[in-house]
Amino acid sequence: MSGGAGDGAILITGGSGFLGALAAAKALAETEATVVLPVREPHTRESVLGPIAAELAAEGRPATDAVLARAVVVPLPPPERIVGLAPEMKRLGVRDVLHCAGCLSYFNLGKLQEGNLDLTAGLLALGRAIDVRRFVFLSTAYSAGFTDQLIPEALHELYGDDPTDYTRTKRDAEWLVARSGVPYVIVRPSIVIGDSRDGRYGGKPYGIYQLWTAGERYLGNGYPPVLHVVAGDQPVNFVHQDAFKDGFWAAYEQLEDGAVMHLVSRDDALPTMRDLWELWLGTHGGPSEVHFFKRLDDVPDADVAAQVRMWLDFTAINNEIASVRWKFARARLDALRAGGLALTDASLATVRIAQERFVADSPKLQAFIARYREQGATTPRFVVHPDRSLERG
Amino acid sequence: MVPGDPETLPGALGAAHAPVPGDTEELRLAPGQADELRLAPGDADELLLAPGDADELLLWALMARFERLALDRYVALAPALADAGAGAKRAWVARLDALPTDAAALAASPLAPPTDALLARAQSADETAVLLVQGLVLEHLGQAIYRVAEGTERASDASRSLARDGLAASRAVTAAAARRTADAVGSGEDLYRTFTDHTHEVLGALDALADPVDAVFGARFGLRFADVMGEFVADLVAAGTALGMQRRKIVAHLAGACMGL
Repeated sequence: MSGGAGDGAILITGGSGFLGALAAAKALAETEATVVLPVREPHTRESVLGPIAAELAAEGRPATDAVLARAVVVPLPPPERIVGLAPEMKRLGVRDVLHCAGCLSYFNLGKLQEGNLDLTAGLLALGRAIDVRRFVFLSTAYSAGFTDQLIPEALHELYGDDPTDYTRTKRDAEWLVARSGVPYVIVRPSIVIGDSRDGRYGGKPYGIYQLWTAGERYLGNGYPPVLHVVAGDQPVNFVHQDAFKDGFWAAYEQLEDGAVMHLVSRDDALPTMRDLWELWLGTHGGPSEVHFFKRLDDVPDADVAAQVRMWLDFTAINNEIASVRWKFARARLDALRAGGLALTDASLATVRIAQERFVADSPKLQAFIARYREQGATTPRFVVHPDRSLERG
Repeated sequence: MVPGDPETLPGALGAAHAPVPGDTEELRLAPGQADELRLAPGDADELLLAPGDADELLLWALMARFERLALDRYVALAPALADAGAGAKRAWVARLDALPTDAAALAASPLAPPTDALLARAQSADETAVLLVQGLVLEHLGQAIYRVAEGTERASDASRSLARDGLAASRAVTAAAARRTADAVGSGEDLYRTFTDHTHEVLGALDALADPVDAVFGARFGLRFADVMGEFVADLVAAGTALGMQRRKIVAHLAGACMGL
């Protein structure tokens, strides 16, 4: 490990969430270390360890009592009092902090301030108090804001318009980490999707899951004869949750202090949103016509039913992000790969596995698909509409 | 109108309360209109809703639970809303109470648990919460339900007429709520913060109603959760932007809260 020896306990925040739980499962599987998981109410030891044990089991590493006994769940105090954990963390032997907790609200400034900035500041204070050996901060690949330039694996001194306040606060938190004086590594994953091998996904319905889940809930009574969708023609950077887990761990273990790494798939085989629509409708059938629009503003209001409009609205920000060609520098991940890190890049074939799992896990969706097939579902005719924003200038 | 005459009631009430889109005058009930809404128990609605209409009565029993809580909160914490439209909400609740609904049937239906959970999150304890949870969110949800119910040809004339009147009473309240919200809570980013903080939980409880609503009312009325949500979100976004909140942010909040993010 570049940052120091691999002994000592590891403190992982966000253990009650998706990516923090994956990091905790990896830590329990790959080390003999004590793993400290600070969480807030209403989470309990049982509620936190359940998904972690499930992830271990899915990897063929049963969560024995001995393994779970190494997980120490402690209450997480408010940000300003986190530094008060220092004596207990020293007693537990914590040397490294993997900060995976965060607020994913798009625009709730109060929650973003507390969850992304105040919490990070509190953990950095704790890190200084215990003389942390390594502080890994989980950020986002989209912290650069919208840009058509190559996004460097460095702190963003220049940045574009932010898709949401979430990306801005993640960028600001990166700077907090960099200026804190603790030895750090920043990892920026793209859109995390289910495991590349079996499609399992432990997260909330973000990213492509928001589109699928909203479709399940709001279009599950039947498609309109003509379906209007917003779907760009640029590759969308997904990273599978197994790739996230292995890549994040490799960054923690192997990168040099001060490194920033994009944890993203290579561009070669990434699908576009239109590819994903054609995959879904080609597999399960759909209405007779599907109209692709690049932007929500181009969809004719009068032609869509209220629930379709709501579904388009609910998925609009993710569609907006997916409509842009993001060019992420990948030198650090490539170097880890050259050193033996094996990751599966996302492609249409691997996203299909995640899609199949999503359908398999949803009786409601299966019933809809079966019913719709009986009613004459077909492979639609796809109509691509021009980007009207070019006309609007 | 001839009180108690089932042939004349739907048309008469429908004509009196039919909303005119975009017309704010509809929100001010003319003198005498509120009296029309205050039909005594035993009046025509009871006669129109035949015993065989158990599903329709279930709908009105459900709406009565929401409307009673709303009125209770308005009377306690936001009296201007209780008095809006010459007391339109009071009259509407009295009318719902006079229907031969069966609370036990509702309690035994799959609608009961998610309804209990939603109403538990809607026990607004101060005026701000009442304005945002009841006056903005749940009133617009009610309007969406009433609009969808009014538009379904599979419902009886009596239910469609009731839906029209519920919609009119609710519109009187939302107009008053919008004015009071602007005065008491503010607008723009300040309002957005307060709105998101106060409404996340109640919006998050809506999704559990999806399957029960579709199961109970879908086949019978064609009243489906997704249809109601589509109407509700469109209305709420329009109402929120009229109060100075950014459309993009309102939608993001609704998406996050409604989808459990």
